[in-house]
Amino acid sequence: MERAADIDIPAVRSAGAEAVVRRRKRRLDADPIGYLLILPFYLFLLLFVLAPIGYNLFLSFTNYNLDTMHGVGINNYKALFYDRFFGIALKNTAIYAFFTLVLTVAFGQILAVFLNYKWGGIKWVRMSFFSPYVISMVAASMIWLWIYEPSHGVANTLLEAIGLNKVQWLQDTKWAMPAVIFTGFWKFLGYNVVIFLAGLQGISRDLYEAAAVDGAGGFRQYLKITIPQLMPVTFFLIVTGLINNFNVFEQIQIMTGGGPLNSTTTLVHQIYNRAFQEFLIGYAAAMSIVLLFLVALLTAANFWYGSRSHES
Amino acid sequence: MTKKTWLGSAVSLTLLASLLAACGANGSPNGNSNSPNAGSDNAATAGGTSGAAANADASKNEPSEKPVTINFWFPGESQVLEDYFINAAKEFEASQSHIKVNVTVLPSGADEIDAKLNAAKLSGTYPDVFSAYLIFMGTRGALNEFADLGGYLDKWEDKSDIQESALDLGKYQGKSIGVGYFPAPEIMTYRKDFFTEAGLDPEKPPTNWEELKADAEKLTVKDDKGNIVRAGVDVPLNNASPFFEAFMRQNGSPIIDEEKGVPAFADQASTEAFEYLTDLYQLGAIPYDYQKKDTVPFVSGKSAISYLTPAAISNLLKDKPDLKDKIGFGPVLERKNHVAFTGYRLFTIGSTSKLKDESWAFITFMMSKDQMWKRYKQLQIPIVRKSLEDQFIAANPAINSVLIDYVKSGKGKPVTPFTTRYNKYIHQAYEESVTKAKPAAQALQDAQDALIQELKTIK
Repeated sequence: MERAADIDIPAVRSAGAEAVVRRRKRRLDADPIGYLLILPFYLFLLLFVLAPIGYNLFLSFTNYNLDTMHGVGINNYKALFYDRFFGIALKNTAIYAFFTLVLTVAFGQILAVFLNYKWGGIKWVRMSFFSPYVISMVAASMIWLWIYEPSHGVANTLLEAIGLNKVQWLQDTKWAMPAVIFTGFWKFLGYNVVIFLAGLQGISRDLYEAAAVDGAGGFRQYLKITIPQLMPVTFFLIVTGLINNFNVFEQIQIMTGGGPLNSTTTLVHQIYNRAFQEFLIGYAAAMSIVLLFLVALLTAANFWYGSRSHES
Repeated sequence: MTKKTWLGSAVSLTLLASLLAACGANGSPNGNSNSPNAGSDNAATAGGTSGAAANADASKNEPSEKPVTINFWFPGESQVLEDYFINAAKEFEASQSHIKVNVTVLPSGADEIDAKLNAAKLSGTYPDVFSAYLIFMGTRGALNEFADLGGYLDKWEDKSDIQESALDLGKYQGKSIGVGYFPAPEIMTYRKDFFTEAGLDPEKPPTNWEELKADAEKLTVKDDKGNIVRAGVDVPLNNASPFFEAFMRQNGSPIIDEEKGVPAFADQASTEAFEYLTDLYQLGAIPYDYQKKDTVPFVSGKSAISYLTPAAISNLLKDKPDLKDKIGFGPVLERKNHVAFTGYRLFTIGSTSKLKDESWAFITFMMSKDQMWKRYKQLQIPIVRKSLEDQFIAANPAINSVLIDYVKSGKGKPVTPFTTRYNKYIHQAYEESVTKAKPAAQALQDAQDALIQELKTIK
């Protein structure tokens, strides 16, 4: 047997590297058309996703203001700790993301279970729930701006009709965020319902029949069959919903402009203001890198939790 | 690898190359990818000149008689305004032989204009002539986006006829970068019928702070439950700086020391102004966003006194002609300083423009007596030429005599590179004050401290 000291390490490394190159060449030779066909996607990914992220990272270490650019090291990141609006935006984003996600996922699942039954006009009901999702967020925000209008809006007219006082929905710090969250809930509920419906229709009827034979009632079947069987769908909706909700911007910009008293400003809203209103491109780039890591971290945590649940 | 596989690869590669080439091809038949109209919301070439030819000429930078095209961008506001500028550009083209004008209508919001200008700057398609809001003098002037007009102004024979305020507002750090042509004063407008209803003399609008408050109290109408049916005076809640800055200045606050470039709004004068406005708000104002002009309670008959621009008044009277005899105009309120808020639009020339002489020729045409008077007749834009003042007042004494005082004593947004950041903090202080979240003095001090801290740390 050869002793470790006698082994020519550079030669082994060189042989190993050659083997790797040979394997890669073999793979390319095996199906060049396949690689060529997926090339546009990778080019797109490189040019329009990875390169901008890299450039954004570079900008975050500069004080670029659309006119001049100088390196500032990690000053932009340090300044985030002194930026009161960043802290407020972080908190508001978390509140918006949490409540919108919980409401859309919970109500989406419950509604999907009811809409999964076959009764007259069910297609129309399903479609009506889904229709807000296909409206652009800008148009939806304009509609809700009108609904929340303090003197003649539909929301206050309804409150008055049942004998309650009018509410300054978007002008009151207590009500502005709940109003914006409700708009998000209304907009995205239909999407979650449709995805949950697809998941429900994939669950085998045999499971329910077997449970019924064993004496399980409807609620127990829901707890023990529907919820576990919908876990992959729920997991998908939580991950995509979390990313979407952390990027909330249009409804904030249109409905409240981040106010009143910054009670609805969010991370993306702050990034937009800093970059395109105040021309602090470098600083805004640092904020967006923090947002990127935050979303990546939460997504990774979700995946970790998801894989653990799956294993258990 | 087989011949067939290689052949397949070659065909695929060719198809891919064709696809990429097709995607990258310029959609314009003349290949004018630099045309600023490419992404504009609403664009028109006044003379129908080919953009490609124009840009080719522009690149030569010759102030000769060769045909050239200048790009003119202005914020739209109404169809009448857009029609005026497009027609004026045509008249300019007809007045000489070699300069064509490519007119682009921008959205009216300052933030939307910022987005357009940012894109234009990064893509090298900044306009030759741009009708800028006053706020841009500081925010974009600091980024060297506007050419120094000092040389042109010195040689301009009509300079002495232009109101000093129209020229002074266009200065950034002593350099003339804009020529004011479109004053937009916020004029006290009131409903005479509501005054009569409240037992007030409809021909005697308030003339100072005390009278305004007393009248507002009498004019406020509430229902049995105490809900506001009609406000005495409009006191906006959000984005209200044009409204409250007038009160701060009337009471003697400099707001920002523009020479030193430091905030100076946490003073006694501003505190008193905010306390006064808080009292007015608490009387029973209907909260609204000052930037959303269609939500102003006065427009829907839900308040008796408001501050409106001439354009807003004109639109209101066009929508509700029966209000013509029911609306009156109040003077600039008397306090320590005789000052009103007057927004402005200014003609600027892009610092990267290669057609500065031609651009200046267009600006002087637009500043001519003839065009200024047309703007007044068609758009109710107040004049800024001294020689037109008498004619202007005679045309409509009821409003124009008031208007001219607003324009002359008008002051707009502070011209600093950090006006946007100042806005953020001062709006917060104002909202905190009027909603009684904080006492006025504390709200102002906190805002000023935070702004100074931010200017030091976030650069």
